[in-house]
Amino acid sequence: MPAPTQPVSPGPWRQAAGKLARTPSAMVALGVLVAVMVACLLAPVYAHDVARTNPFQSTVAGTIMLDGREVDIMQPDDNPLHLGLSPIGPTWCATYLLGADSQGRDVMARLLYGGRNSLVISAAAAVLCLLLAATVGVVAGFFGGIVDTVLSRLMDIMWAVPVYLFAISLSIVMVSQQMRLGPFVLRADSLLVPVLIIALVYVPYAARPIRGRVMALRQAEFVTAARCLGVPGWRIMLHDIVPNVMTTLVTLGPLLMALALLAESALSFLSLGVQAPQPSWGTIIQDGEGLIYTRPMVAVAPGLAIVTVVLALNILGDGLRDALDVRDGGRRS
Amino acid sequence: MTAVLRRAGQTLLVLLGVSVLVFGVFFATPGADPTARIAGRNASPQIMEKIRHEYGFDRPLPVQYAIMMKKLFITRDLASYADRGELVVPEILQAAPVTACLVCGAAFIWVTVSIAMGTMAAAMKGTWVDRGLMMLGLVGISIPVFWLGEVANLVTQSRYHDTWLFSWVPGLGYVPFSQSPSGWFRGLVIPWIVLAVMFIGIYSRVLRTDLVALAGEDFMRTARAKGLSPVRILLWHGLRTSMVTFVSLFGMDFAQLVGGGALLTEVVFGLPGVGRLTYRALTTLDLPVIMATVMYSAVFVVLANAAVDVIYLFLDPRVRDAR
Amino acid sequence: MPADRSAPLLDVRDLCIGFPARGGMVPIVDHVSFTMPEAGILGLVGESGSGKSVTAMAIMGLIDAPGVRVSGSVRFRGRELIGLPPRQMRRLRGRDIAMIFQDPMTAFTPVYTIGWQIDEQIRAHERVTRAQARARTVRILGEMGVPDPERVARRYPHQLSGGLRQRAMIAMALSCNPTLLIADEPTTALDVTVQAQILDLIRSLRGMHGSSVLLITHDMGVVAQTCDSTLVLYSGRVAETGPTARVFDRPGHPYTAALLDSIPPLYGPRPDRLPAISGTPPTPMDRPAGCAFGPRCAHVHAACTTTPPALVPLGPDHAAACVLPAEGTPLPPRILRASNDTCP
Repeated sequence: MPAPTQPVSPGPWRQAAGKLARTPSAMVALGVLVAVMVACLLAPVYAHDVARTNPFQSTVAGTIMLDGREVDIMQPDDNPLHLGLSPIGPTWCATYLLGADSQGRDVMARLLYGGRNSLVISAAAAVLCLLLAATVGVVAGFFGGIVDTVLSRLMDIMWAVPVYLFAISLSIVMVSQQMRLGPFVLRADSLLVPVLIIALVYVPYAARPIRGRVMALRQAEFVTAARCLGVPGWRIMLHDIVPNVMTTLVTLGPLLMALALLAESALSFLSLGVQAPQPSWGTIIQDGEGLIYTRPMVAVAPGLAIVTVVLALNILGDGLRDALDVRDGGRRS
Repeated sequence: MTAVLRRAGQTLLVLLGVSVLVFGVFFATPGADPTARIAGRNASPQIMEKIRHEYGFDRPLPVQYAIMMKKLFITRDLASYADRGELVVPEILQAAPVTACLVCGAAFIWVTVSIAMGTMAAAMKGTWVDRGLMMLGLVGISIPVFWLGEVANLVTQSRYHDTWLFSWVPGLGYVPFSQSPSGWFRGLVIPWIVLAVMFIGIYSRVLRTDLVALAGEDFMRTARAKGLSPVRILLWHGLRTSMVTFVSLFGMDFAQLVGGGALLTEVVFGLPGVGRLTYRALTTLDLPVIMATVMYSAVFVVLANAAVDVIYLFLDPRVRDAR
Repeated sequence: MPADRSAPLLDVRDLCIGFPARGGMVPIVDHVSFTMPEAGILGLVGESGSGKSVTAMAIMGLIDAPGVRVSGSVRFRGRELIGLPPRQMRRLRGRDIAMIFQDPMTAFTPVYTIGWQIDEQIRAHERVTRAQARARTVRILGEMGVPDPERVARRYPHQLSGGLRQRAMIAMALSCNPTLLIADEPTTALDVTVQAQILDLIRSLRGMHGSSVLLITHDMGVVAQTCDSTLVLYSGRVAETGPTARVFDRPGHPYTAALLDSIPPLYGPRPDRLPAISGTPPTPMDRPAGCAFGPRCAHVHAACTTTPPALVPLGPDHAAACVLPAEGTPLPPRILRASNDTCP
């Protein structure tokens, strides 16, 4: 049944969008997210036209012109503990804006390209996870009984393994060699590997609230009414339950993406997510770990990027939850 | 009594499920030979053959599972091939106290700080104090712990190490309590704080939401009608009731951390706990060690959850009678 | 209401409570005035939304929703309560004015025993030891007709039946010997049989503790059984006030009359269908300019629609906010005298 459109009072989604638009923090967060995404999309522009490099080009022996002077990219170390060379620090100029990493690669270029990978992986993982969790939650909540028991137990079991350990276990298995799933070959360095892993480990986290919502809806009077009218179960599920669960899904979306981004960076930091030489914010932090005392910017910059995006996602998620919360919209007694 | 037995049965079932799940992830993934995984890189054919026989990889999966469980929990002679036959289980037991020290200290910090923050924010609901504290909590949730550790190291070990602020911070690593209590403490303070930050964010926000929701409850109105002071109402009626949710959340997180969730913190600060053991095994692809730590941590989490259920009985009289 | 008393127990004058909405203040309670004598039971009657609970909350100083404005005067033994500093108000709450609530299921904190919660109130207002407080708790629980009070004091709220819980609630309210007890629909959530017991208990409080009771209810039957005087609220305004027997005998306001008509009579032939008041009360936001009951009133005419009618005295202590008596066409007295057994 299509929702009747009333000119007087806008639909719940419209209303929520309006409420969200009136929340300044959520709008700022949205603005920041869009800005970061645009910046990452423009990564090739920056790399080709501004920095004249690419994220993989390592220039160990090169020099650049800085204030009319020729400066080595790999400079003699000023720290007595390291006898080797350390990369150039932030120049705050077009090239090597944030300096170079230990292989002489432009950190800014890698940051932008890495952002693409990190954002794509976390968004894809969040969407996939929501799809899986919604299936599990709706099926478990709607059918109840033995189906619910089995699925809930399965979720309990998965949730008993610490999330990061679970992700690490899956990664080490999938990263160590390529996998053959029927006709599909999953290469170890594919970006799909972290997506699948992160989506899978957070399914119990997302499925629980969805199941709760469905259980509550199943008791709701309009579902009972539909049942009494003899509406078949699948129809009730599709037309009455799923649209009402959408609010829960939309609210969970940004929060899951935030969690996925954190998980992706942690896996990449442990060399179990995005595989070298592909950049991601986590791998750049790992590259920077060895340089933390001499060239801290290599590790600090991607970390700041992660904090910014995750914070923006969390604020957005908070705003969405407040805007969509039905209970909150009612009058107070 | 039957309810207790049923709960115990459930716990056993989950334990079985968890072990099957972990076993499956490591040894029953399609298209991969587990022998090569256990043997590590560059193993000779003789060793491969020995492993295949020892773990029963030439026999059906249930037998393999049984052999693995026996090696893990009964004979405890699971050996690491990548690390010259080091026995895995004693290694884990040796590393466990370090992890326990790290997690307990962090838990103490995050519980006290988050209760203070959450209660304060709820008491000043709607003011800038409330908004500021909650934003701070959100920032805490948004920081990757390993990065925060790196930055903490940068600040305390390098940049400001020579100032009065952080000159007391010792180098990275772990000093056993028995060797030097003060060294133990000084070495763990920064890791404790770094590990606690995210949980402070989560818990203070959960607690604040809970307390604000409780403020609308009838019994809070009764408490006000009794003429109690606002502080007493908030602490003795609101906070005490919120503790029920708080404890269940805490049990879960604490168990996950002790079970290896503190891996990233341990790696960044060079603390030789269970997490770093796992990390070292990751770099050498030492599968038996990883599987053993994951298995032990999962078992620990399940048992801890059962323990939380028992604590629940003391906290919520309603649950006590429901059994 | 005896006029010779210089300071009545509770004197409410022009109490207005407004909630902010749609850019303005919406009056929930509009110029409500009444007086409570010592050791009397006043029934505050009205439909849900008529502002009766909000009035009680305002007297208790429990309204703290952001933006709500309370004005007018509430004098308790001559002391102004509106604008009293929170610390002094708190000392009054629970000791001099106590309140019991509608739903005894949710009114106790679930994680403490009944005894603990009553002790807490005693110890909040008086310097007594734990043991002394508990002794008094047990005594009052016993007085409230709780069987085996010592055991009940050690029980948790969820372990008691609704009736027992309401008795414990009343015991808690009376634990500091308040002079005024506000009971907000104390029997609504209870079974009918338990309801009667609780009402008996409330009636006996006057003799036992010398407490006055402000009984809030939507049930005219409860008022007839229990109250000395009655105050009928409609849409935030006083519709009628007077001694219960008089109000029931010769209601001056069509709303009161209609309410009384909707009670099944105890004597005489049963009507096929009880008369009901058609329509619903207006929401505070779109109250009409004139009499709020106008749109539902059988006697409505032009004079009703311009300004809200003022209270017109109809007899000793009896007044109604209706233009009919002033116009010389008062409502006829009711013939049915169903409740003379309980009215003083």
